[in-house]
Amino acid sequence: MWWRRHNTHSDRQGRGRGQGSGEGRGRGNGRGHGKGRCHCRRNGNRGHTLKSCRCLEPVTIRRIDACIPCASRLRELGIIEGGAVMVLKHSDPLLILAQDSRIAIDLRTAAGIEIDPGADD
Amino acid sequence: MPIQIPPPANGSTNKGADTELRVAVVGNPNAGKTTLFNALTGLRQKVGNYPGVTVDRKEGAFTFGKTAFRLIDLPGAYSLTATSDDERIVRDMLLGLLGDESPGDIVLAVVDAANLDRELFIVTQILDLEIPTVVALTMNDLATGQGRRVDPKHLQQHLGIPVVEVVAPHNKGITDLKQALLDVAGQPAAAPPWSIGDKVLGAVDTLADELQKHHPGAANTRRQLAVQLLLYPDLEHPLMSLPGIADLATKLRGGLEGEGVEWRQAEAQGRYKWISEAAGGARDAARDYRPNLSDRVDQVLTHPVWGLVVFIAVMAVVFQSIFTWAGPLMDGIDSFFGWLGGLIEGAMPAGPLRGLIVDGVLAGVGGVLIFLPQILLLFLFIAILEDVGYMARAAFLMNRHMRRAGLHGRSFIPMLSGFACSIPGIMAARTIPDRRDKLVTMLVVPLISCSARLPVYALMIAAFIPALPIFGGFKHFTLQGVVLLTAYMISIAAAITMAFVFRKTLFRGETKPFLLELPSYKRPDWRTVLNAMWERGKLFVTQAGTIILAINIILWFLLTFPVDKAVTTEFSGQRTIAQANLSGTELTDRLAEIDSQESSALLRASFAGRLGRVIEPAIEPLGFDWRIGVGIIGSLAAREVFISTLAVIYGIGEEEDTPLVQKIQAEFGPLTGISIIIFFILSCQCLATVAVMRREAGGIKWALFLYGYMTILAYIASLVFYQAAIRIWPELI
Repeated sequence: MWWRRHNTHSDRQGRGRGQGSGEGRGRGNGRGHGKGRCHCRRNGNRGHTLKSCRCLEPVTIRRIDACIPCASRLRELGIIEGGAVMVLKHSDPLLILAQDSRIAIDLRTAAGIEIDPGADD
Repeated sequence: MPIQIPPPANGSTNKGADTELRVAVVGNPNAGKTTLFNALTGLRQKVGNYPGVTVDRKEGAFTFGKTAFRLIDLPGAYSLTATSDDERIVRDMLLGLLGDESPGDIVLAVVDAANLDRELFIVTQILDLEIPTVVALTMNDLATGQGRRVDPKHLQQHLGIPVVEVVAPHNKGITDLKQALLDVAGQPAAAPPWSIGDKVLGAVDTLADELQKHHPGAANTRRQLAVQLLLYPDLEHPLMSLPGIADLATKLRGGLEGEGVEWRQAEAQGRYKWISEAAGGARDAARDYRPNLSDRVDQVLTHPVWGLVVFIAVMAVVFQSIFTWAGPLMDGIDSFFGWLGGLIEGAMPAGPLRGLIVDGVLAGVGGVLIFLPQILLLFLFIAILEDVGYMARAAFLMNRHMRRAGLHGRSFIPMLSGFACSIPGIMAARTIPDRRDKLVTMLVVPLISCSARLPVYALMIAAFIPALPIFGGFKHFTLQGVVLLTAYMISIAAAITMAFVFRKTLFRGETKPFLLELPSYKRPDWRTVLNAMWERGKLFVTQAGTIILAINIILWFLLTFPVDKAVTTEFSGQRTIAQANLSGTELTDRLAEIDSQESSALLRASFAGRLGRVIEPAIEPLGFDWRIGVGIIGSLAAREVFISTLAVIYGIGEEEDTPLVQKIQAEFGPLTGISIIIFFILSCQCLATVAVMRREAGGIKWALFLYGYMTILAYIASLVFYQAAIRIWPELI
């Protein structure tokens, strides 16, 4: 049953991750990313993103910007932190491969998906 | 709608004779649900609407052994955390939030083997609800061709529920599937052992306990609701308005963030971790990528140049079909009703009853059915393109261009259809997932110059624009052609401009991110395609058609009554004189002339004629008089009726020497003619379009808005043009 008490990836992430991320800044103040002000990093150097990575090279997703309106839907489609995706075509919209599915996403959304280029799980 | 906490999930325990079981058919878009639904139910289907939304509700039935199964084909959904009207229906049905409608006795989850991992996401959510469930595994033949065959027995072992491989287009596996549905009835599914994490679980349980205070429902359903309310704060959810829930959820999220827990990822990470084991190991799709046939075809079809070339070719075929190929069928329907009208006129004595039957009812029914060829052809092509998988590619190609105008990539086909007729164009907007994009598209499609406007343009251009060659002596390219082209360009520009304006005003807000799955290409299932075409046509006739018929009857009444006895007496006297003094062709010509003059006089005395005189002061600044006003009123039935109404008003009969062009040249000037063109470009002179808008937009409000804004737009444009033109070129008045 899913409500059984197991340690999971997300639990382990909570114990040490979030350095420099929007969630990290939000830590301790009780404010979330629901409705209201967004504390994510929107400006400045966010490192590699899906928008800028090379075609046909598998990459691992490091972080999905919480300010992307469709962030939860991306995860439901299998584009999740720690998961592998691949850009199939650099176009507008971008065409990516995730969980055997070909999915087109707009460039703004792609720019909000940070990746670890060439890193393994 | 009142908020309800769902009752406990139920399952019928009676598998015996004479049982009826209700089955909800669920699955991702493009998984093959409709094809399977059609294979199970055959023609025993009916289509309606869910209350309050323009989402099709499709029900069907079949009998297996002594058990009757009633199927509900739910819209495609990626997840129970709904982001569209379609998905909200699925969520509300399965979680028991859809009024009196229960989740059903059994869920039939349709899963595409070629996209197994992603398709299992919603299946795990359904299993959490512990409703008896069967998985129908589709497209395993496609997956096999790609080297990714799914073993149904392995999947069945992990999911703990029956998994039946089906090939619906060939009716393979259907009997086994029916047996599995019968076997599973009354046996709740076991929720899969995926984990959301201890800390998130604690927060979910706290929220679920709070939900219980409002209504003691099934624990599993409450937990599912608690997950949605806690982890997806931006989604519209009917339970968020329950007292204390929103605040508690915010507080719990804050607590999780305070402990550094990535709560947003919790559900997806937990489910996919379990799914990757159930789906046959940790095979990494991205790292094991090999281009398949669909990828190779997409090299061309999504290419920025070649893809566009193919797209234009496909659209040309669609356009040609609804503009030209539908023509003979439409002419056939027109001829049939003309013949039938003549038959009835010959069989019945002249009078109001004959007028009502021929000019009211028959003309109205004919006026509805004449749209059918275009609607059926358009939806045949849409269904084929959708089933094959090309529609997603079209949206992919066009999205960038359409977005500049504030429209969706899928808006292209409705707008293209508008060149033939607005009605199928508005209906085609159903394929647009976002409601705002859909409404904007439906509101601007009628601005596209449809084929019914062409006779009006043609008449005014013939009367007032000289056929001067544009390029030297090349007589085939004239000023008349340029003016006609300009009329079409104005209509396109108006549509794009109004789409932009609507996006900035009435439908403002950040543009939804573009997120679209490109399904694998496959052969179309003709049963599904023809069924979709048929259902769309049937819906038009039964729902919009009744309103169009009523409007036609009302307009007939306004154009016919009251009958001025003094007019009929006067012209009756003229007939008597003519019959006494003339003979042969002279008598025939004179009688035809008297008929035309009498029709004109009767029209002037009718309610429509009086209305035309009432509105004359308002339309005079546009260069129109009461006769053009009557023509505008008549054209509410159909734009081309403007021509026939003018012919009647000016007493133009079949034998009349002066054609209509010369008559209107004598009656008003070129500036009025151009003002008429501008008015017809921008106005919604077609109540049939308004009737369809009412149905497709889900209410009278947007239908009235459509008519209102277009009338105002047309009025202002004609006014500005005419008032400026009479000052610049007073000699052309």
